[in-house]
Parts: sequence; structure tokens; C-alpha cells
Amino acid sequence: MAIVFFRTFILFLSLLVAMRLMGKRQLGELELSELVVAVLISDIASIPLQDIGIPLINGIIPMLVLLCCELIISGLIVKSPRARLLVCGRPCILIADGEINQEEMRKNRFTLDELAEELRNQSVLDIDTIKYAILETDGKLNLILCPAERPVTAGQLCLEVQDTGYTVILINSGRIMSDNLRVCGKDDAWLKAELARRNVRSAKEVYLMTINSADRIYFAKREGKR
Amino acid sequence: MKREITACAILLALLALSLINIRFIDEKTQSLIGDVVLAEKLADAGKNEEAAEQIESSLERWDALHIYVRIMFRQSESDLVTNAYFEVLSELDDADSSPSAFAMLTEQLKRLADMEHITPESIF
Repeated sequence: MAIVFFRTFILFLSLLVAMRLMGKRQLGELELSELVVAVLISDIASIPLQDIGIPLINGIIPMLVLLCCELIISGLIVKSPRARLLVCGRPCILIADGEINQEEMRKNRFTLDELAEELRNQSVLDIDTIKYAILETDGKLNLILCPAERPVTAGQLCLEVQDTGYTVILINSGRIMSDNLRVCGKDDAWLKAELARRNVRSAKEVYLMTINSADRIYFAKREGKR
Repeated sequence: MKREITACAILLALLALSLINIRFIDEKTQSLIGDVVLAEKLADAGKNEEAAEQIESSLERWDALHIYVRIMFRQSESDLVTNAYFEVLSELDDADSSPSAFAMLTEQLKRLADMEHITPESIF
């Protein structure tokens, strides 16, 4: 029992370090090599956990090797476009000017049902309105609509829009985020005054308070326990 | 670039350690096999007590490798070697040493070393 506990702990920490070193991309958009490593690592880690007769080193060394390979490959991909092409492939255009490229659909084993699902996901119902549909190397389908179908921007309408900038959390579940307060150039006295204006005595009574670059404040008082 | 260089260095270090490990296990098993061969010769000459002493000292040396063996090999593999040692000892006690017990022990020790050797067989 204790052996399993320690093994799990060691393998968990090793996995955590491995995933952390691979970077944030590992959590969301997976390239092919990253997916392979992620699947392999999680599988390898589970083997010595299930059987205490197998040395822990049989789990750790493959993980270490995979991690090193992934770091080397991702470094190569950044440095060399040829390596990137070899490992990740190239993006494919599935729809161009409203026409489905059937050859590319076949090559990528992308069915019409999957295409329709992707289009619905992105609220596009008419293929004619698509200028390009690009299947990226991480498997995501990006749509570029025909110019006439694109949403109008403030720039096109010559409208002046106030830049609200970045919103910063000042109070999170009753806790004052002092660093954020400093970042937006405010101090405790200012915060106290703002709370008093909202009939709040202490930050503990606040659920969420944010401020943006235009000094616009969002305030939500904490609800009492029901 | 630092990360990639570190990764390459770790890979090379792992490879070097693997090669050192192969050499280490080869030396150890060869030495243990030498003990077994000597013990077998003694048993063949009817000197069962001396043969048993030889095997016991070899078993002690095998036991001294306990931590290394547990870290590097499956428990079932190391147990096979330990059991083979006890098998030889029990046969020597019965004054009925059979060559098959010695052969089995030698085979198990060889197998342990072979498991670490880089060959197409072991890889695939």
C-alpha cells in the first residue's frame, strides 16, 4: 500500500514536471508529436502504478526519454520549416471560394458530417459564404468568410471606440489582490473609499470587484449563506 | 536552444548510463556464473559440501546486489535467480546434485544479463 502511494506520488510529480516543461500548448492545442507524447506518457506512467513488481525506473526512464525527444523535436520545429512540415504536416484548404475540395477531404479523411458539424459549431450555415476553410495542423478548422459576410468592424464604420483595455480583478471572493491594485495605480485608501460608496465596510463582503483601463468598475456583493 | 541542448545532454547521459549498466550487469553475472561453474565441478567431483559453500558465497554476493536488482529488474526476474540458487542448494543438501539445477541457475543469470543487452531480439 505504502509502495503504491509513494510510486503514485513520484510518477505524478514526474508527469507534472514533464507536462509543465512541454508548455501550455500541451493543455489545449496539441500538435501531432505532442499528442503522441501526451498519450504515451500517461500510459507509461500507469504501468508501474498497476504492478509493484515492475521497477519504477521502467516508468521514469521512458518518460524522461519522451520528454527529451519532445523538447528536441519542438526545438527543431521552431528552427526548421522543413522539420515542421515533416512532423506536423501542412494546413489544408478544405473549402476555397465556397467550393469543397473533395480531394483534400479524402486525403484528410474528413467526412461531410464532420465538416457540417464544424460549420455549425462556428455558426456558419451556408458553404457559399465561406472564402476559405483551413484545416490546421492541430486539427482545428478555421473559417474565413467572404468579405461580404464578415462582421462589420468599428473601423469600417469610422466609429471611435473607447479602449477599455485590460480588466483587472481587485477583490476576488473577499480577498484583496494587492498586486493588481498596484498595477492599476490605485491604493488601499482609494479601495476603501470605493467600498464605502457602495455601503460595504470590508472587502470580505465583496464577491468580485474588477476595474478596466477606463476606470470602469464592476462590483458584485457577496451573497449571504442560504 | 538551452532546453534542446539540455534534452540532448540528458539523452546522451541516459544512453551512457545504459551502456555502463550493461557492462556492470555483465561483469556481475559473469562472476556469479563463474562461481556456479566452479561449484558444479566440485559437485561432479563428489565434494558437495564445498560446492554448497561456493554456492552460498555466490548467493551472498547475489543478495548484496539486492537494491540494484530491485531498481533495475522486474521482481519476478530476480526471484527466478534467487529460486534457482535455492534449488541448487537444496539439491546439494540432498547429496543428489543434478546438472539441470546448475544449468538452470546459469541460464537464469545469463538471461538477466541478456535482458539488458541491446539486440534486435531484446528491442523487438
